[in-house]
Order: sequence, then structure tokens, then C-alpha cells
Amino acid sequence: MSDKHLGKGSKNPPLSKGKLRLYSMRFDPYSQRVHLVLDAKKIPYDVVNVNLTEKPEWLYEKSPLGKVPTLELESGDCIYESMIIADYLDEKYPQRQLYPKDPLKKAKDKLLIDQFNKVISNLYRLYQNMDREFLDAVMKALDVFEREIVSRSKPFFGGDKPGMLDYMIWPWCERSEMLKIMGGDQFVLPRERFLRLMEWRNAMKEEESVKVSYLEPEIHAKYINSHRAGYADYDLLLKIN
Amino acid sequence: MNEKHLGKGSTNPPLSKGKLRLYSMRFCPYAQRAHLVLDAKKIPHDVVNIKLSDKPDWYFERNPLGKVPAIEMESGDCIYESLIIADYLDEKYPQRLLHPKDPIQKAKDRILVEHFSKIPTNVYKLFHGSDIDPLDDILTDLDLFEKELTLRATRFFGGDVPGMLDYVIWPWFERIDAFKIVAPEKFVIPSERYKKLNGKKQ
Repeated sequence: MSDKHLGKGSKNPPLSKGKLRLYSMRFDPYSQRVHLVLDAKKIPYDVVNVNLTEKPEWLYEKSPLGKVPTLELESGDCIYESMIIADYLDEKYPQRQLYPKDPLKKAKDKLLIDQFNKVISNLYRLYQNMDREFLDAVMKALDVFEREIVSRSKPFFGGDKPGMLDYMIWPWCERSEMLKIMGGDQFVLPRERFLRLMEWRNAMKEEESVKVSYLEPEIHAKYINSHRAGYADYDLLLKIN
Repeated sequence: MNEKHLGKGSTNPPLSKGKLRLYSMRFCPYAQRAHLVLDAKKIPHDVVNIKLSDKPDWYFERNPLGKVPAIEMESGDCIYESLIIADYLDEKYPQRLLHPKDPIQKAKDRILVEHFSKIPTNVYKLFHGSDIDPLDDILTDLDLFEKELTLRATRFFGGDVPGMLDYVIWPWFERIDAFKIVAPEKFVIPSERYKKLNGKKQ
């Protein structure tokens, strides 16, 4: 999954028999959502990483706007949008159902996933501008999640194991520790305010399904800084190993 | 459903036994999505209209965002966001399933709904004026739907009867004729370009 990101003029590797094909970018949190679902459900797939600054021409045949993540089936059908892919996988592959069985619980989890968009948009503002004001906005949006995990009294939002809600918000939570690297000690989330969420974060890091795609905060910070400097270093992992 | 819209200082009518409560606004296209699904599946429900320019305080206990539509169940649980409500109803009430049975077809229909989501914003701009003329964007987006309906070669996107995709996009098509009355010079949709979609409207 850390292979070279293919760009303009490249060839799309042929599909592998018996496997789904995921078009991805190693540091993209939306693509990571799909990795997490595939890994949690142990669905066989291969990965083609895509250079998002110099998109290969063939990508537009898979996804009209050339977006990642995009999932290609052996039939040649392609679907995109991380939530649509995640929902499709949970419906098509019944092993380890990630959404709650109860339609009402599922609807409430979807509402929370929707609400997490407030955390995401404020995080992006924060990355652009390491300002206390934006950190406050992130924390305000995160408060509802601390309240929710406290009220559920289980290690994960999904119960004893992570469920769809856990996985859909994880990519940004994985990246939260890089804020300290980027902006200094004042950009650490206060323990007292997010006690249970921090326990949840540690529990998620122990999960096999999360370990597959997990990257350390230093790596995330390195990537984000390259992006901010104007040259997104997609293949930085290849240089380290 | 044509009842007075309740505003500040009003009281929320008590829930009716055996019925879902839909909080709505008579002219809101997003709320209409919920009405369409409830009516298609013949789910018993009553309606309380909300005055969106002067929202009653009790409404924020149902939807903290204060938006319509919202559904309240006899248990007191509330859900909101038109697409989340639509999905919930289709899962909870299996009579006349609106989403396609096949997961890939369902995913493809949802992608079309994503594409459609630009149209309401652009139609709003058309109505209320904006710096950039959105008509071309609207027509390009509609092209995709005309192409898709032609490909499916059925009366509705859902087949012989309307399905979820039909209902989710319908509220804006219903309003197209209204736009012709309000702003005829701005809104001329070439009907030859949209033969299939026009047939569907009939």
C-alpha cells in the first residue's frame, strides 16, 4: 500500500483476480476510511496509489472527477465518495457488520459521522493557520464525541469492537498528534476535556485493522508540511524505507 | 399537511399514537423528500409545520440545528437530515423498498444523488440572482440525468415505479414550472434536450 504514486503517462496495472481494486493516496484521510473498512472486514483487495497533482489520464475513466478513493470491481464497475464506498462494502460483505443492526442506532451514528464534518473543516482551517482560535473551534466540535463515548460506556462507539462510526472518524483522530509537531505544546488537546476519547484513541491504535494503514504523527506532519510548501511529497515513505 | 406554521411562543402538539411525527415546512424541497418516502411506503404519520423565520424554542430539542425535515418517533427519538431520514425509513419499513436491492446499483444511485446536489444551490442562485449565471451549470448537470434515464430505458430511474432516486430529486423538478412563472427570461430549459426527463415529469 506504500507503492509509488502513479502520475501522468503511467499505465494502470491490470486488476488482480479475486480482488477489489482501490485507487488511493497514502496520506489521504478519506482514502484511509476505505482501507479501514476493507481491512476490518478482511476483504481481498489491491491498491494503486495515485499522484493527485499530476493525475494519470486513466483515472478519469474510473472516477469522472479523478477523485480518490475510488473502488473498482472485477466487473469494471467503479464507485467513489468514501461514505458511499463504505456503505456499499458493509452491504455487500456481511462478515463483521460495521453499522449497528438497529435502523435507529444506525441513523444516529450516520448523524454523528455527518457532525464530524465540523471537526474536519475546522482542522483544515487549523492546518492552514496554526491559530488558537481554530483549535478552539476543533475542540468545540469534538465535545459532542467525548459526551457520546462516555454515554455509551464501551471501549468503542461500535461497542466492544470498532464500528463504522469509529472507522469513519479515525483518520483525522490519527492525525491529531501531529498538531503538536506543527505548532508546539499549546496545540495539544487537554486530557481532562477529552479523557475518554484519548482512551479510545489508544484502543484504536491497538486494533489490527487500524495498524494496517496507521502512520506515526511525525510522518503525517512531514507530509502536510510538504503539501503546505507547495510540493506534496506523496512518495516520502519510499525514501525512508 | 397544509396547517399553520408554528413559530415562537407556540406549543408543540402532542404526538399521535401509532404515528411518526414529521416536522416540515410546506414549501421546503428537502422536507418534501421525507413526505414522498412516507407517502410511497404508506407509513402512518402526522405533520407539524415549522415557521423557519421564527422557530419555536421547543423545536431545537428535536433538531439542535433547527432545520426541517426532522422525524420524531413515539419513543421520543429524533432524527434529521433528509437523506438520513429517507434511508432510515427504507430500512425500518420494508414495505415497498425504495433503494435498489443490488448494493452496486444502490451505490450508483447514491452517486447520482451526489451529482444532483449541485442543482439546488444553482437553482437558488438563479432565483435570487448571483454574479455568475448558473444556468449552464444546471443544464450540464441535468444532461447527466437525461443520459442516465435514456440508458435505463425505463419510465422512472427506479424502473416501472419510482424508486429512492426518483423521489430524492423530484422536489426540484416539481418547482421548475414555478420558476418559469417567476423568472421566465432566466429559465428556459430546451425541452428537446431533455425529452426523457420531460416524459418522466408527465
